[in-house]
Amino acid sequence: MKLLVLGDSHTASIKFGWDEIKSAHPGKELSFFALPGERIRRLVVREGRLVMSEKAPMGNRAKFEAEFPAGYIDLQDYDAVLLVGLIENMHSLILSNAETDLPMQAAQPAQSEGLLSKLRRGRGTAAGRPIGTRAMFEAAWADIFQTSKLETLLRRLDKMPPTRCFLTINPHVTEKITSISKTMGPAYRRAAKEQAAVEVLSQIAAQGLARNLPEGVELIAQPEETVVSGCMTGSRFTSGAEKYYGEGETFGKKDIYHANRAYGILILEEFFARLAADEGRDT
Amino acid sequence: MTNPYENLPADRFWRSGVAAQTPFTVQDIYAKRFSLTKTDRVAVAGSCFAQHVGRNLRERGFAVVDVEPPLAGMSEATAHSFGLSIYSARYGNIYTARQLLQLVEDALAGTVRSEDFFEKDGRFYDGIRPNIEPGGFASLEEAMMLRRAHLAQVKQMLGAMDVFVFTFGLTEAWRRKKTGTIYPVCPGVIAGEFSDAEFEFVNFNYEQTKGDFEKVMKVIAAVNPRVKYITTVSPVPLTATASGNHVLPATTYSKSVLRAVCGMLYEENPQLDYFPSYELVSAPFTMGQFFEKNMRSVTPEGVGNAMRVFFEAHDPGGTPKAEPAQGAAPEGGEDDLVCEEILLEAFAKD
Repeated sequence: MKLLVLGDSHTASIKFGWDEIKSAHPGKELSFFALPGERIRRLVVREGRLVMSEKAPMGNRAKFEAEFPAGYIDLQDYDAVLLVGLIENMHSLILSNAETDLPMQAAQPAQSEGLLSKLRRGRGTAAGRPIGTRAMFEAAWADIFQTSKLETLLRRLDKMPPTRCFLTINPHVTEKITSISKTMGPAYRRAAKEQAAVEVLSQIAAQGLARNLPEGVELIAQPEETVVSGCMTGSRFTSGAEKYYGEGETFGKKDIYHANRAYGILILEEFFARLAADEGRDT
Repeated sequence: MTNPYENLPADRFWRSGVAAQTPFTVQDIYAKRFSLTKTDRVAVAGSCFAQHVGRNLRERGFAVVDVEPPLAGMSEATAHSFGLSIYSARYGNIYTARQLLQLVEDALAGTVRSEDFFEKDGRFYDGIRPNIEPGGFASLEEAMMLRRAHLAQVKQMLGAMDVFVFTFGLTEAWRRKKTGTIYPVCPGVIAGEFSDAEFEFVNFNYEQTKGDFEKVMKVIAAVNPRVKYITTVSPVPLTATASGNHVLPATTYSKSVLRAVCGMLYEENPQLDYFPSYELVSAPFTMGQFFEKNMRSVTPEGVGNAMRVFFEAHDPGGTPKAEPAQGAAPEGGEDDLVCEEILLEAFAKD
């Protein structure tokens, strides 16, 4: 079974996770390609194949050609594709929900749709505590999707011959954020205490993603055992996260975004389980 | 000296000051009373035209207060559709001095009246800022809570600002008879139902408009005595009038009252400046070129020229932070504004 894993810097956890478990999966052949940051947008469609844009820097093209010497990816060569990362989870929503002294529960009248307190400090004032509606958060999430790398890549893949496609988005930020980030830590400390609000935000993010995903793209959610307080990734799954092109180099102690190979293994196990379930159905 | 006109500068004479000029070359039309600096915390409010002022101040790097900023990740268009980042708080358009006074008094007292919320198709709308929540609120309770939170933010803004830029837009408004509450849009246009028994038309005159703004300054001074004011009059004519007059003389009346109020406020208040955006867009020397085909909406060029004059006084040598992309439509036209008054157009019989 030939599988393609494609994404941004988050692809590293899958790649290094695969290194750990590939001996247990002799029938599977995985190909990887990733570009960190926004650079994956340089992957474009030409004649039904994925290629690196002519405008991409030499370095990016060299990386692509090192993985795909033919200079293109033909999705029909693969049984399935796994897209990795490409959009944040609910990070912006959590941050938007930070810093007020207005308790979220108190801000949710019985008949509301889940009114959320918005805790950001207003510019130009000593302290602000504006609040927003669920519709406002949903609209913000829709904008996040529309400007994401995921939207760009999905739009491009839509121009290609159909193939089985899975997606696992960025993991939640590490639980260490509460102690290592002065700017974002308070938002997460508060979120940890207000699970009802986190649940509403989580629904907004999940529903927003589901609404925007093309038919047939199957979502692999963050494994429950890796989630802390509904909005963070347990440090067991973030410590020692490696860089895709780092040759063993890790992101370092201040990184809050990336997961490690233990996380990647869980995603791969779920990916393989879904494929196996479908194989079973086919026969 | 044989008479007082003898040694006056060229700009005091129509022939040299206006007839011989174009709107782009006119000199000394605005002599600022005080300097607006980039460390001044500037709050912006007013009628639709005030949105241009706020945006241009932001683009130039002035410290425009925003006490209700958009959520992280929100696009500008989405933020605007929720009434965010248009002005310094989420109060929507404030067309009359009475509406401004109402906001300031409500903010300082924390007053929220349940009868100011209108229901439509099971959703609830804030009658005082009807355009800030697309689709309305889920419940009256939610709508009232958000208004309470909004007023708390406005209170913060009033205490934090150094300069308040206000654009006078209209004299006409709709008022609830029982409470005197002013609505920016006639009840029934966006939500709610109009009733003669409950609401009445009001066209504020000179004394009322001036008195209302003086009360605004007095109330604000009690919480923030250092505030300075820059006033303008929107050059945008009325979309519709309920005064019983033709809309053209009704517009002239309205704008004349507002302009006269600004003139007298300027005379009497050394902490208040007047910027002539009305004149720069609608005076005869513009030959109507700054209005779109509907003779009402101001063109981006008109906005740009007024802002050029403003910033030549307050930000000489400064440039907007973000230049429009090549080939992009110039910003600043009516399409960029959030303006509920234009909804009245829909009621016109062709």
